[in-house]
Amino acid sequence: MKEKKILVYDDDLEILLLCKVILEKNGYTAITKNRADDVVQEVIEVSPDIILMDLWIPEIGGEKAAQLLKTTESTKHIPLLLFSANADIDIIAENVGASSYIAKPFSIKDFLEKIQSFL
Amino acid sequence: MQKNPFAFLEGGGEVAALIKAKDWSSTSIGKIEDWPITLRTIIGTMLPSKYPMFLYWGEEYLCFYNDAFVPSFGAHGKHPSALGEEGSNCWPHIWVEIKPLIDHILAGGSSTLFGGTNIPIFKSGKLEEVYWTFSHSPVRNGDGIIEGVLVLCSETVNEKLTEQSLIESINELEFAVESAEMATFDYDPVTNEFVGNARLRDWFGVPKTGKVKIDTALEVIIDEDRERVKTAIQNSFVFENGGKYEIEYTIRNKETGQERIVLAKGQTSFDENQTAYRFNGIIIDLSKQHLANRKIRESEESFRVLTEALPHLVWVTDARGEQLYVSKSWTDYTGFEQIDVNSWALIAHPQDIQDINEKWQESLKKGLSYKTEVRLKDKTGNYKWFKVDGVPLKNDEGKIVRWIGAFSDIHDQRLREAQKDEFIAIASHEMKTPLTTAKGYLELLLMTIMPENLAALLYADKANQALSRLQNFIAELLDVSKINNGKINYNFEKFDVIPLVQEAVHNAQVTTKQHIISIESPVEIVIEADKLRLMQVIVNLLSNAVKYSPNTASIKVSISNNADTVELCVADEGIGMGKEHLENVFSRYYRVKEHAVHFQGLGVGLYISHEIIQRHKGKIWVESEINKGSKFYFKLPITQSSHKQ
Repeated sequence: MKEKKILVYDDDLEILLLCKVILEKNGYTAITKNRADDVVQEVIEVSPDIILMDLWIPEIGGEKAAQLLKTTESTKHIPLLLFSANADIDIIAENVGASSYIAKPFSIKDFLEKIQSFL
Repeated sequence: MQKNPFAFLEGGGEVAALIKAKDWSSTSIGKIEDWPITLRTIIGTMLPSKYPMFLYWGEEYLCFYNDAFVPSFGAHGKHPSALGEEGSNCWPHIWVEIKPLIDHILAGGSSTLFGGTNIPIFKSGKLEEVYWTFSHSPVRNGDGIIEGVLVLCSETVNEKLTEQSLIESINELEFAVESAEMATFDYDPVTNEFVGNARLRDWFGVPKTGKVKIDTALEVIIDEDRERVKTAIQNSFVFENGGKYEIEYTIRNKETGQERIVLAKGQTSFDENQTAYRFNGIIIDLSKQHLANRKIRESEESFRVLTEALPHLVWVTDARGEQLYVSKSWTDYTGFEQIDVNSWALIAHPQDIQDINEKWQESLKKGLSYKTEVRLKDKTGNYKWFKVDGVPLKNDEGKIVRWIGAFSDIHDQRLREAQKDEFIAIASHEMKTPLTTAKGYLELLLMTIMPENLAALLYADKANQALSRLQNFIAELLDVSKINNGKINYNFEKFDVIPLVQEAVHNAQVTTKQHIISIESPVEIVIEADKLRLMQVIVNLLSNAVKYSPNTASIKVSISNNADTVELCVADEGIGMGKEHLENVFSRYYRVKEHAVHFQGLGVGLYISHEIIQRHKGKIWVESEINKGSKFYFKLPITQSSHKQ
């Protein structure tokens, strides 16, 4: 079976690396990006199974990126999880039409369970 | 000769009967039948009169009187023995005074009228002071020869008393004039001279006696006032003006140089030709009052200057909260000269108005000082944050007479705080990122450590616990910054609070082996609240109880409820705290100083709890005693009906 592709957006390279380690250790393909300048085009090209989207991603920010993806016909079906330390992540997730969210800091167990639930 | 010698006595009453019965033969006038016609006529005239009359007759001044005179002798007086008696026997005590009067008439002198003469008479068995009005007139015979003296008299005891009381009134008036420190004047508009009492003469420095020329007095009035006073006097002499005179002016005593501010009041009397004939009145020294008034004015002025120099918007109200004063700064800022219901609704921010009104009403009701923060709109429509402090001013009886307070501009402070909160929000967010990484790798590390490497597992676990604590601090900091911005969102739902408390107690119990945490509660209490936030409060209270009872074991949690509220208490037997801290423990960043060294924490837990409970329309408080322990309470309404979000 083909490995599931997880596309992770985060401005922090350490977080991206951590995610990559966790995901690959658990049999996923992790593609990491620290900018979201051309997010719709990128998502179409990568065609991930799940998108993790940080809120503080340059240049347009996670909220805008999420809205774009959720309003674009060819990307809106892909599960999109907001991924942030923002305390109001639950509300923001609902507002931008994200599928769910993962709050930072996270436990690996919760992180993996959340991703698994959208595959 | 005469048909009936007693005919003249007819209708003469008791005295007539006595005259008729008396044996007159041994007297100088002889028997009645021999009495001269003049005597008979005058006695016949006197006797029936209702007016008291007395007659002295002949050289022996024989006394006759009528019935109307009898009461003047009194019940046990000289009546009837006085009848026909010689004058000197009849009035032995006063004869020396009476005789000259009678002799004067007998000698052909003109009739006299004496009023108010005090002639003691024997009355009711003793001598009494009686005041009399007497008319003495001659009784002439047909040839014009004076043979007797008729006295018409009346007692004037009552009149005399009236006169005496009049004198007393005058004395009282003088006393009043004296005590009121009034000067009095009596001015003759014809001669333009006046007399005054000693005080007036002293004030004006005019001679102590005699008439004073008005010009002399006018000289004493200071230049600025003199013409005005002159005119006022002249005007009061004009009949059409009514004669009233009232004027304030300043005099300067020429000798002492002392100045007085005086108020003169007077009234002119006019004769039938509407010509002023008398002008009198009083003068009062107002210098002290003026001084006092000036002091009050100066004090008010200082207050005004002070309030205007201050950046604060100062206000004063009466006891009921009605505005008495607002500083110019208030008017300058708001554009309103009043604080009333209408202007207030336009000035205070719509989001703040309910809160501030409630607090003000509560202060008014309870007489407690008034403190809150509010956004006020300036003239241009921009809102700024103000802190308001109001205090009641009480009179000697402790009754509130005024409220005085000020709005202080804390806008910049609020902005700086907002910036700081923004900074905390960003900083805590930024801290979360490396924390996330650290926790993630630590967890990965834990996964890779062999189960038999107990030391490594222990170290990694310790590191993980430390990171969890760091995570909690960051969460608390973030909460504080959100409270300040009003950004904490509450999700109210209905749930049974008992399992929540049990869970919190359980979680607290696993962190400590030393303590025994017990719960006393009903089976079920369904309340409407934000579950997670309420949990946060209970966890905070429990962790404080654990933290601040390092040497004791018991921690008791008790819950009780009634139809409307639920109350929770967490009681420990730990180190407690002094009274001075009880109010402050709920303020931001407050830490009991003595504890700071030994106990870790940001000092924001209770502040956050306080905020959460307040947002549930509840109340949180503490009872504590040093080394006896603390009891933290909160009370919540069962429902949040008006709080739905």
